[in-house]
Amino acid sequence: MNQPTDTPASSPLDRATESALRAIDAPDRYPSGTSFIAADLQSFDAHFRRVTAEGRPVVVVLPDGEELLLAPRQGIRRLLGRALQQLKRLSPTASDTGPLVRSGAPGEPFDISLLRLSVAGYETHLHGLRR
Amino acid sequence: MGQVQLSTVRPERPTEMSDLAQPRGIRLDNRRLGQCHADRIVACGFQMRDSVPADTRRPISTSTRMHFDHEFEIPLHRADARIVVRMGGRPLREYAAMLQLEIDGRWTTIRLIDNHLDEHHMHRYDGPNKQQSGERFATGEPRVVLPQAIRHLLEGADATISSWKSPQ
Repeated sequence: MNQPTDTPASSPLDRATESALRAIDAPDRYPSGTSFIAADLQSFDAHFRRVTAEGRPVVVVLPDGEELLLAPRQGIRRLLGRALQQLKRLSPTASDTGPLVRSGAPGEPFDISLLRLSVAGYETHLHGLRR
Repeated sequence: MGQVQLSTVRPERPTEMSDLAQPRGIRLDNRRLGQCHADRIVACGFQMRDSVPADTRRPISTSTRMHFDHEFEIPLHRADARIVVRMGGRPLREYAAMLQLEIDGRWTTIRLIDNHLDEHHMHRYDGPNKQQSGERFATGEPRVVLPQAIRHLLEGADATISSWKSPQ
C-alpha cells in the first residue's frame, strides 16, 4: 500500500503531462520513445499493451506523482521476453483491463498491481522517488 | 510470466537513465510527419518570395528539414488517441507536437504544432491532409512554447477529434 506524499489535485492526464514535460528540459532523464501513461487513466490497459507490444519504454505515473519506468531489456533476454509476451497475449485475462489503480480522492492510499506491470523482456525502475 | 525487478533511480542522477536501452524500431508514424514537412516547405517557399517584403525577409536555412533526436508520447483517455512530441537539439531547437488518432490500425495526425523555420504554427487537417496555411501559435523560445503547445493539444483534444472529418 502506497501512501501519497502530497495531494496532487490534477487529473490523471495532467499528471502524466507534468511528467512528460520534464523530458523537454532533461531529455536524457527518459529514453527516447517513452510513453507516459497515468496509472488511473481509464484507457491504461489498452495503451500499456500497445506500447509494450511495440517494445518501447513506459513511464507509469502513479496518483501521487511518482513514476515507474519500464524499459525493455537488451540482447537475448529481450528477444526471449518478446516471444513470451506474444504467447501471453494469446490468453488475456478479464481482470487485466481498465486503469492500473482506481481513481480515488487526492491523498488517498492506493494499491499497485505489480503483476499487471510484469512484462516479459522488460525491467522496472522506481523513478522520480520523492521520499 | 516475466520477472519484475524493482530498483531505485534517484532523480538527481539522471545519467543512470542513459544506461537504459534506446528502443529500436519505434513505430511512430514517420510517413505522416514527413508528408507534413513536404507540404510545409512548399508553402514557406511561396511566402518568402511573394508575401514578405524583401527587407524583412529572414534567411532561410540551407536545410528545410527538421531534425529530431528525441520523442515521447502521452496517451489520452481514449484508447485510440495520443499526443506525440518530437524534439531536436540541446537546448531544444526544433519540435513537433501532434494530436493523433488511430484509424484502421494506423496513427493519423489530425492537429500539428511545430516551429518549422523558427516560427510556431498550428496546422489543422482536412481528413489526413494538412491544410496549407498554418496559424501563428505563439512567440518565444521553443522550450517555453512547447509545453504550451502540448497543453493546448490536450485541452482541445476532444473538440478537435469531434470536429475532425474522417476521410471515410
